Amino acid sequence: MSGHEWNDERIGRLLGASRATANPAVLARVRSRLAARAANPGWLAFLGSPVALATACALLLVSGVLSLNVVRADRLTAATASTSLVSALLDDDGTYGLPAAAATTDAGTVRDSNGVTP
Amino acid sequence: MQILAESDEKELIASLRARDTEALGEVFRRYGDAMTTLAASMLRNRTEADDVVEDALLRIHDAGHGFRGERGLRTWVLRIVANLCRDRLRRRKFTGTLPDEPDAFERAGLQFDPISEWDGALDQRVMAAALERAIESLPPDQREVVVLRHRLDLSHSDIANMLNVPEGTVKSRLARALTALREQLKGAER
Repeated sequence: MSGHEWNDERIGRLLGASRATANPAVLARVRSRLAARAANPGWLAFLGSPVALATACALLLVSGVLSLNVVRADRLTAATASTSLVSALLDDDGTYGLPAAAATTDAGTVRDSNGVTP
Repeated sequence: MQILAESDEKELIASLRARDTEALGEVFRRYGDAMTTLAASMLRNRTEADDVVEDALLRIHDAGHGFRGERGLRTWVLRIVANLCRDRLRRRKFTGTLPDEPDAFERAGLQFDPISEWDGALDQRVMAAALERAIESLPPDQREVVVLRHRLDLSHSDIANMLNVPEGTVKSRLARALTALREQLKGAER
């Protein structure tokens, strides 16, 4: 190999002397992929695509954020509500079903209510 | 003859725009060797080169309806192959896969046809193998222009159109690549 001058012309000629031949199996694979695409409905192909995965992730994120907001708003409402959950469920206003006047003692204090007046 | 070839190409483009599968076969018959040569020279791996040609044909089928034929079918087809090769090379930075085949021709799936006017076919093959090894060490953008110019015989303006760069950039990349190849080959001889 020594003794040869590596000039641009020699390099160019040698480069042009090397080639690859197309593999016919490639075209057969392309045709079968196109046939498979035609056989599958579009939405099925979509489900298998990376776009579908990205869409699913985005929807999961959006629903997560929304549900977090709903839970936070609910907690805030519960904290600011004047009646407790037990009272609301028993429909208890502190009089135990008695008339308000009868529920008070002679001294004017309320019985069994921890000092909370209705 | 030239007019006939142009009308043929127009018909082929019209068929591609209509998503005719037979047109894809015709593209493969006309440009399959050039597509494979470009992909094999860029990726240096025949299996990956075939995968790129396969993906390129599918892209041609999918994007054919939007092709207006301004830059010629061959340029467009090779541009798709070059883009896919660049994507693969970028991904290879992270995966780093190249077959262990010691012969540069075998590794890339290329065949060498000795030049009849030159003496010594065996000597030519040894020189060509040294050249292939030197090409492997070129950066992808320089390897691309060398292959397009000298292996696929594209003009500077066609390469510029294909790569979407000014013609001067093509010439400077080519000059840098040839200088690097000469240096590599002289270094290998020592």
